[in-house]
Amino acid sequence: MNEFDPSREKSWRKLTTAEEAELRAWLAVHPEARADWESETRLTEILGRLPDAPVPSNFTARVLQAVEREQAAAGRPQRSRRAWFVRLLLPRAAVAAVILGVGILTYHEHEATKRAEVAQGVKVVVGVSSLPSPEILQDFDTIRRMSPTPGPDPELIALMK
Amino acid sequence: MPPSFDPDAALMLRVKQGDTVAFAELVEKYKQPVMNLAYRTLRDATEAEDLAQNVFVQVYKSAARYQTTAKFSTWLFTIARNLCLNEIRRRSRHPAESLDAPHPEQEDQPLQQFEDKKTFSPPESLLQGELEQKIERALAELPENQRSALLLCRQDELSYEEIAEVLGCSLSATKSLIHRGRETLKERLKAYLRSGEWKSPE
Repeated sequence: MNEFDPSREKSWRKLTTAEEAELRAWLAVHPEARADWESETRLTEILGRLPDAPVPSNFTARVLQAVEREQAAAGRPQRSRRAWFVRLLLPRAAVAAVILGVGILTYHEHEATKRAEVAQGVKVVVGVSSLPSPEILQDFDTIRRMSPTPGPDPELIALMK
Repeated sequence: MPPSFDPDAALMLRVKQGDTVAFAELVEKYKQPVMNLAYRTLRDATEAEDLAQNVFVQVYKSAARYQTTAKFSTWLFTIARNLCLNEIRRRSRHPAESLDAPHPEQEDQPLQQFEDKKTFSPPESLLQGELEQKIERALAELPENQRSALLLCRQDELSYEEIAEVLGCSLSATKSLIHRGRETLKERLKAYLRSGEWKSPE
């Protein structure tokens, strides 16, 4: 048995001189496989002989330039972010701080006024010497729930006039 | 592959430190295979050039994230393929006719005229040109994953395991993609493969 590996994928790539010799020996023993092998190796040869795509002579220089541009562009956003902060965000932040300060001052002033009014009310209540006894009001709800009071008597009002 | 055995990984370590000379060395080494992949995926020379340039810019920008445990070329082709896929998706969202793309009435014209460094006698040259045209078209008509698998396999730079890593699929799925792609090409190029007349004297 010959050592040459007749697996198909061998024919997909260019054979070494040693492999070619092995192939010839193997095909001598297996002539029925010759047509298939020839077709495979011819295709491999055709694919290998396809012309290269054209590459401009300055390709590498252009790649290096593109890399430099990328690096420059990568540095730019940081600077522009700072500039954006200074130009746009800083004045807005200052205006917002002023508005907030004015708001806090107004609120404190309002609170102080309210506290003074409450103090004034407390002072009035403290000034009252005595309140009527709560017993006076014990039938207040019952009286309020009684049938509605009769309306005004226009004749009586006229006589009284 | 450990970084000590992968000279590209060693260069990437220098790129991580901001060494642009090492970076330029990597660009010089890989610009052609990256351009080949981009061109045969996008079929537009200008867009392929822009994309290839972007691939290397991405490599430089992502250098800090590069793990030396990964082979550089695997990492590079993964970036290249992802950018190609993004471009294909972008095109499908915003379909626009490319100036470089062939028109239906120009179907018999080659996709792009390349400078052919080899010299052929006129009949061989004609046959070679015709075959190139046929194979470029057959490649272009393959599904993207089959085409990428074939193109990566063609470059001999990556092992099958590494191609699988770039494509994000298993080894067996990768071999299956290559096999199916090759079967389609063989079917389309049957006449040439049978006769072998296209072969030039070496």
